[in-house]
Amino acid sequence: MAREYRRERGMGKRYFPPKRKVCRFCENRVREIDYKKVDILRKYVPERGKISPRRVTGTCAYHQRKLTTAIKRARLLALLPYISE
Amino acid sequence: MRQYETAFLIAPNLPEEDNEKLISQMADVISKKKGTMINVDEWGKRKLAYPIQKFEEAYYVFFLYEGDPSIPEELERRFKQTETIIRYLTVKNEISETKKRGRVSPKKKREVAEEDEKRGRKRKEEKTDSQKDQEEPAEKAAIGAEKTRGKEAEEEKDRALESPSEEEPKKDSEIQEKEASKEEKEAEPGKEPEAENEEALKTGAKKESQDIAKEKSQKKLSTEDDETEET
Repeated sequence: MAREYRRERGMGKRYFPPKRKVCRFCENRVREIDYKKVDILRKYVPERGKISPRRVTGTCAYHQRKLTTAIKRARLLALLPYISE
Repeated sequence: MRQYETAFLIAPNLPEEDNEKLISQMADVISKKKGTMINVDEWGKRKLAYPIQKFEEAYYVFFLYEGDPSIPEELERRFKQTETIIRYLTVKNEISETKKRGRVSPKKKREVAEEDEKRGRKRKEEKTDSQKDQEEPAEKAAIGAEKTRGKEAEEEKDRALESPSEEEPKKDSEIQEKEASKEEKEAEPGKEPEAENEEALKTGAKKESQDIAKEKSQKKLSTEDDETEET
């Protein structure tokens, strides 16, 4: 029984191994994130203007902390929106 | 002496001559207080992400300077007084400070370099092994090792300071290899596919994963055939 069930599930959906996300800032050996580089920060702020979480972007904890401060600074200077629709 | 970066936005309705005057005034503050200006960056008029005081655009200016903490204090006092400046931000630059803190004696530097050499050799060996075998767990372990390598580079100094341990990376890779092989065994064909297609990965990595997926699907087919024969 168990085998049949297993096969049924296996027919429709293929198993893809989860892709390994690597922190982009670690890859490029960046220590500090500049709040003036808007084009980089934009990648971590989707349409709504929210900061995308670590589990989505794969950023490491250290750089996520730097990122949030950078984004918040950019928001203060109106380089990035607080909210947008 | 500290490094500061001050940014301020000038209202767009101000004529350009007055803009220059304002900027030179602010620059004078720094020179008067015996600070050294490193860089003045003027972006010019730029559209704001949201309106500030009903202005849709503003003139961006960035000062990068070194000096006593009294300089940003004085600058901000002036910014508050002048109404044409709609916003300002002062940031203490961390880079100059971390450099001082991270000073390493030449002895320790040598030790770190030696460790690097050893590690470099180990890493290379691992890579060649995985290329020869071309087995999935080995590949995964190699990817894992690459990941840990980035972290190692970050923490190299710290580690060297605390306790020079050469066996750690090796152990890590061994554990990962074991884990990877376990995952292979446990991996069921009916697992949920990951729908998230992140840009975070490079195309090269994508290709690799696709290859792995292909191999897996082939394996799956073979196992299914076996099962049908049994039943």
